[in-house]
Amino acid sequence: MSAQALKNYTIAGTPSTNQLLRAYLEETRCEALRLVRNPGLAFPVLIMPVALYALFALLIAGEAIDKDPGIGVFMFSAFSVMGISMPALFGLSSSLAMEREMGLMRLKRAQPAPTGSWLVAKIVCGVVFGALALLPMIVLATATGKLALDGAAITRMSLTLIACSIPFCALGLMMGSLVKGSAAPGYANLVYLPGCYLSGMFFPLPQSMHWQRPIWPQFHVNQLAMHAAGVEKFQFEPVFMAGAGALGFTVLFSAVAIWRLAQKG
Amino acid sequence: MNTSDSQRLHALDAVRGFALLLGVAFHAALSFMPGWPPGIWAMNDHSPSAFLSDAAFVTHVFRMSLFFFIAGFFARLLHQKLGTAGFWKNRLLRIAVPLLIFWPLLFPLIGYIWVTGITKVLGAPPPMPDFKLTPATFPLAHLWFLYQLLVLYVGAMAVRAVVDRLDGAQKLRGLIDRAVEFSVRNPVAVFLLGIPLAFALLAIPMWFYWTGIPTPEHSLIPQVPATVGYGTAFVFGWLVHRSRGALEGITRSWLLHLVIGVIATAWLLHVVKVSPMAQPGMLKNSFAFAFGVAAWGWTLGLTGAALRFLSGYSAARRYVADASYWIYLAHLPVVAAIQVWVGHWPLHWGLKYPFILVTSFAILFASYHWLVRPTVIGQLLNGRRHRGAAPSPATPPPQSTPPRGPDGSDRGHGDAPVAELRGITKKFGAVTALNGIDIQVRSGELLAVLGPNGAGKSTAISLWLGLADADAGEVTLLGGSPRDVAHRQGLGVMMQDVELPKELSAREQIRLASSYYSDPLPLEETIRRAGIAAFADKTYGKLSGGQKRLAQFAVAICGQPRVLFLDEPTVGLDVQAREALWNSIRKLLAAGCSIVLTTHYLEEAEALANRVAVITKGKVIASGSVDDMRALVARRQISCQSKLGADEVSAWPGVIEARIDRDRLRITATDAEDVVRRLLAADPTVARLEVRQAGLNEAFNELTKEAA
Repeated sequence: MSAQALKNYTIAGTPSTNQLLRAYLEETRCEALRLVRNPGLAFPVLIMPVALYALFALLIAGEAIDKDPGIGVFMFSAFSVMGISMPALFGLSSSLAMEREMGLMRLKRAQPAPTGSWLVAKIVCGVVFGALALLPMIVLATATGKLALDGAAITRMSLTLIACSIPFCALGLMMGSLVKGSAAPGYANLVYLPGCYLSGMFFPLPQSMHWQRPIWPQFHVNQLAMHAAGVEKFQFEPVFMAGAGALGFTVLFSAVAIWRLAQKG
Repeated sequence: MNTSDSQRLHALDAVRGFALLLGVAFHAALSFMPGWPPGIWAMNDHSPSAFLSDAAFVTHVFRMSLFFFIAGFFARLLHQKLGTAGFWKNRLLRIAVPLLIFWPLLFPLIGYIWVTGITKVLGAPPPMPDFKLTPATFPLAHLWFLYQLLVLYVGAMAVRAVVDRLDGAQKLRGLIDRAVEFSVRNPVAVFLLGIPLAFALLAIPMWFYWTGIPTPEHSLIPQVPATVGYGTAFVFGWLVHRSRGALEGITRSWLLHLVIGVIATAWLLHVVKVSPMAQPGMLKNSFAFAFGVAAWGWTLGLTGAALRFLSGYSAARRYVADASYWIYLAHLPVVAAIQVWVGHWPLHWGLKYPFILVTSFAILFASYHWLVRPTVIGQLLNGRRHRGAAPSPATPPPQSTPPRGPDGSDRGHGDAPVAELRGITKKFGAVTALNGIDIQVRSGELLAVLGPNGAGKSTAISLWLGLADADAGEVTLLGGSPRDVAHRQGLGVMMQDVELPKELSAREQIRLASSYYSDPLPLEETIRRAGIAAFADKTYGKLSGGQKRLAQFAVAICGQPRVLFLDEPTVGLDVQAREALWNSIRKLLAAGCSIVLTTHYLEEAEALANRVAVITKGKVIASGSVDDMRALVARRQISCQSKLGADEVSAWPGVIEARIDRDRLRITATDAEDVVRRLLAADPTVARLEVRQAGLNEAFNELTKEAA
């Protein structure tokens, strides 16, 4: 074999762990930069939940919370679920849908990008931005005394909520893989908003509507938060079921997204 | 056999090995089953485990179906390769002889360990059952699968002979092939294939759900449920080998099948926990049906996943796959002996089970490595004897080097193509995008691919980039499959219809793309070579169209590619930027990079290309150097001022076309000298005569017109 031919046939081989790590980090950094530089997306998803929480929990329902601290936890949990889910759902669905439309997913498949590095980057950003949306709410709630829980319970609840942004990341990926770029936020809302109300997250539902709560991911996530906080009054399903629900939805949404991306790219 | 076929076989070999090794893990779990009476297994461990019971059940649902499915596939492959006589000779040697040799060796050993184990559990030797050896009571032990295979081979050969006689025109078989392909592309097979088994299972009077398909280990008379269940798997494997597109379909639907398998298995597990013993009724019916769905979901899902992710050659996987046959044959006494040994240790099963597994595998792999692989036993089981050490991972795969031409001849390495499409056909629905196309890209050359819109250029590129699979033929990139990330390490790509993220600067995009490559250019060097220093820090959304193309070019070259694919790179560039890009391309060529360029600008091909391939309607209608192309359509342009009319001249022999353009007569001619002589004779006033070679533009138009 001639030297020239050798050169042609030598391929770089499997990338090293360091190289993979660098690719994952770089991908995550770029994804975060894109989110930060897209104020149309970053601003509403980061500010809206805490603004709504301030409006409802502090101004409108302030007195009720003072009478029954359980209501404070209930409202905090509701707006927190909103906070952690919006960046995951809207950020991921629109960015993935746009990227598919721009042909960027095709380019990444052609380049030797590590399989799934874009996915990890998006999920990490979804979770981190969810945490960023949650943080001001925790500060506000504890500073105003509207969250009558001890430090350990607040930590448990916050960590649970942050972890629970993953099912919404999966939902965002599914929406992003199913619809076109500009339509993605609209469709995501269509799936997301009814669930906020019909899961009984924002206000307690009449008994007759309880049967349909388990079909909304928000319900299970909210229940996990209630279990983490240890508020028995608002625990409507065992922690095992809530965990299974959140996990089940994650698996279902991811499977649809992966299947769809494999079919259509 | 072409490379992609052999790569697929690597994946299926891995699946077969996996199914067999899973059997070892399964048997290693059986001493921990809660509630099993003594005697069913060699040992009842002091630390039973509900988890291992569930896990064993799950693996038991699919592992043998998976094995027989792959066995059916390889059986047809072998039959195709060796013919009927060769097939039987091979199978008798690999299957029947090991059964005859290993059974007499293993059975007494297994019996001894069982008696020892049961004595340990009960505190006294078990009573010897009154046992008469007849074909209906013959204890095959775990070697039943060899016997079952032989039964299925006999059946398959008989059916094949009948079908061959009845279906001479292959009509029925063609229909079945298409049905098989459809059934795996869409989740149909997964729901249908278990139905015959379901009926066989429903007929069992005392059916414990946990046992699934009752193991036919106690009889030489074929048992109905096993023969139906594993027979279906075997036959379907055979048919998948027949059908051209079925493996491709299985590869595509791997996840869907796996999800269906998991969901069905979850439900089975739920039922097993609620009511272990089957009672006639809806539950039994649905369990029997769901059992088939679960088995086939796992079988097709795991096979597809292996084809998708393990299709490359790996020396380690090859070794394990080779070892798996011996390991499965020999494992039972080893595993059972260790189970009996550790059964009464006061330790949790979470420690004992891994201990059994690790120790068994250590003994079995060691015995394979030293006693089997280099000896006559290895030759008997795997068809070849390996002398010396195991191959290092650097050893090249046996099938893919050296590359062989379609005629089987060795091709010299000196001008071996860096990228090649060989006999490629690709269809989208009813539209044939590529029709038996052959294109090579040689080392260090620039190949311009020309053709009108919809000719198939982009499809050809997407095959080389690993974005699509061909329906037929072979795609190679740097000596391997473009699906393989390791080979894509050597490519750079600039696509026509791709927009980069508008929020990131060109510098950030290059940094990201560089992180994918193991040996990228330094960032500043990429920026310099692409000539984008002036706007490298502007966000992509704010760049002009031409600047965006240059930024994409930078992303394409940052990994020091050995093959660069440029899809219409200069669209939207002004003259200056285009010249700059051409210069960059020439420098890359000089550095030894091979380039595939698709373009509408023929002067671009003329300026850069070593070779041109013209594609129209999915076929290469011409390929060669730019000069070859011109010569192929040996025409020249004659222009002059003349009194003659275009109509008169166009009737002359050797004239293809004549027209008046402003004040000049323009003639396209195949025989320019004769036409000029006649022109001068007919019109002595001819002035400003000019004769020139046709440009690539004219050549190209002529060629595509001829093909149309």
